[in-house]
Amino acid sequence: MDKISQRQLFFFLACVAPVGKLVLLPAQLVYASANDLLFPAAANYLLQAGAIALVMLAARSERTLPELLENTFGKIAGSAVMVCLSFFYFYAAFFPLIEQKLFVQGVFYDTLPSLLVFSPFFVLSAYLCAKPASAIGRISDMAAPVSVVAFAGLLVLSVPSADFSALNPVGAAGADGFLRGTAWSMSWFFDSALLLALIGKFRYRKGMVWKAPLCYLAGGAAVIAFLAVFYGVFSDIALRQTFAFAKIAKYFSAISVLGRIDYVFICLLSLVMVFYTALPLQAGTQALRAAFRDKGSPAIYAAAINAVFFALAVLLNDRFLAVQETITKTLFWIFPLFSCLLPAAALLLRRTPREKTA
Amino acid sequence: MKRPLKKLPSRLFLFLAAFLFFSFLSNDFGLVDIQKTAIVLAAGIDRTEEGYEVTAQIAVPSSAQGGSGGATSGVNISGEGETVAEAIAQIYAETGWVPKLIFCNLILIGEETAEEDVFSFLGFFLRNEYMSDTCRLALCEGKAKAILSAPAAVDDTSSSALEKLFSDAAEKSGYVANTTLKDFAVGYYGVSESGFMPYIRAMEQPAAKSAGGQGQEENGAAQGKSSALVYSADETALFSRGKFVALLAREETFAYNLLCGKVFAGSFPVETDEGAYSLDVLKNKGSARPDERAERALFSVSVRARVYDRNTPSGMKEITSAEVVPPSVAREAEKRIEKTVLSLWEKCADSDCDLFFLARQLYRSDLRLYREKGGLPLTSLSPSVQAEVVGIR
Repeated sequence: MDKISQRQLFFFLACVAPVGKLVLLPAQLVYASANDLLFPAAANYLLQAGAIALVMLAARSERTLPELLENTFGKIAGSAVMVCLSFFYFYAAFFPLIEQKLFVQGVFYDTLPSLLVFSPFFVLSAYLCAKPASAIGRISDMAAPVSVVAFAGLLVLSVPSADFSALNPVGAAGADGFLRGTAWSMSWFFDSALLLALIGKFRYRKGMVWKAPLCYLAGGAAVIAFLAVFYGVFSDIALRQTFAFAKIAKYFSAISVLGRIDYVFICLLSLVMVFYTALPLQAGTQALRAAFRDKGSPAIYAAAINAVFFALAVLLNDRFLAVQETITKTLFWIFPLFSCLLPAAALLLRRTPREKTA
Repeated sequence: MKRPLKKLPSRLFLFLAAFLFFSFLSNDFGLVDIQKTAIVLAAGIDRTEEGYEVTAQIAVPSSAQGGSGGATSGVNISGEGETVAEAIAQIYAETGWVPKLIFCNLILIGEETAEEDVFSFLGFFLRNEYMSDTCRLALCEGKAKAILSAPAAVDDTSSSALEKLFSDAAEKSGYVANTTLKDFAVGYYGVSESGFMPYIRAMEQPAAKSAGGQGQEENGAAQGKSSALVYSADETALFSRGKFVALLAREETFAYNLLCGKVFAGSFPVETDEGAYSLDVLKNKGSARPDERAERALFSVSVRARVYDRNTPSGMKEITSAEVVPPSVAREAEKRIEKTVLSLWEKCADSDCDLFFLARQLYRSDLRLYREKGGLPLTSLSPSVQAEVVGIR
């Protein structure tokens, strides 16, 4: 059963997708746009919501993306596009993976632990990569309530320490700051591209074209609220606060007496984040399999891809800043190409195969 | 045989998820070797000719020192270096103890050290991911090492004795202006570039032993506290661009806390022609902000108080009826608050310490005016103080 239900899709958009935006994105937005960090985030959310609407329109055909590509371009060209798309998924997967690794090392450990500590992630990821879309659906079902409870818990603990006047003066960063912030945060926004991999695997129902973007925007509103609290808590030193969601709640007055009770919520969100981090790898694996017409066992693809990613993580272990600069500041334009333009292009694809001419 | 095999993938999945979660939270399976780790309770920073001297007060269980057990005492170890990090590394090199700063609740700065930008060394603590930025900051008279090393009269360790001064109860009394590393950094890196921290003075307390009775005296003698110290933190050090620029007196610290609306249990004396009164502050509101044109600094204090002490013998009925603050006393208290606020403002303006973050307020509320004025020079503002003292029962 390679299917995902409407409910699971909406849970993913509203509750799982926002979790990937809570670690390094807030500090990156502050770096680019200072106190105007909410606007670039909102711009990216609106862009993505539009792209998700386009994906939903493309999903009305109830054909999978490889089928649509094959109908339009033929087998070879269709496969080539799928290979390109799979490389995009792998590219998009790399930064969240490094982000997750740094988060675990920085927050759960007192000193820098061995990279082996992070290696179980690749075991789990390989397992997920070998699973069909229905696995994503089940993960969304389980992760959504966990994510909501943990996120709400963290916000409740953080809001009393926030001074929202720190978000003023609105527009101080100017158009430059807004554009820089929007561009440099694009690498965190590729959820519409993840949905592309799922078209044809869920049944399109009436209203999904606006319900899905609305769910995504609901998650976006939660992220924007989080960013506002984050800047309210840290104000002029927000730039230095990497691993944002692990830090905002620690100033709650009862924590000095009870200890870091916020870690309960942090651990829960980390668990959801593990699954979110593995999703682009899963999408990439499935796209690659589709490109090669599902030849070979999914386990072999999954193992090989995760082995390569583990090797890359080892190789670039001490080059985080270079990786961040390259992906978020130099090659950021790749993300809108695949997550905004590709969904638009998907609308032009043929639903039925070309008729063969004699 | 078929059914268990069918369920194998989901069981494997659950096992992997549990294993992953466990390994994430394992913290390297007991990384901390307590025998080799020094849990630093407080760090004292003094400037030397070459750089810095860091005095780390390290927690040692009393039983380890031959005590009766249960309590914690401190060992003070110093290291020197061109940077704070180097000084801490020297402590490690000389003792074999790995200094662990996660429990460091106080950074005590020697007075001379604060003559230059304190963020030349506080940056180390702020950058340190393994240290809490909620730790208190304080400036002290003389050397931080001398204060941390001397035995305290009221606790086993000087850091614990000092931390008592910064308690919530002390803050509500209005006679201490607390700050944390995070709050100080926010002030320093903001447009106001200013901050404050309590100023610690230490006093020898030979009488402390006899005052506590014979039992306490014997106990103190047994611990060798020949010249135990008590401390005061009711003065406040003002900082501009990271440098120590002025000192607020006890009354000015109280006025500052009134302006911040933080006083809920403090008392302050008022002298009138009718005699000396002590008023008990039950509720307090305050504000300090620039006016719309950024030409005046507007200060407002509102106090709800009752008479705490009249310094005269009175009967029970008189005590009950005299709890309400007489109007003349309330007016005198208002005058006194206004006078103290003005003197406080004068110090801030003269030393260019934007204690009330007026520049930040203007920046946030009217960016255009802020840019037109090129910031907000404090000397360009004229103060306007409004105090209201109302008696309640």
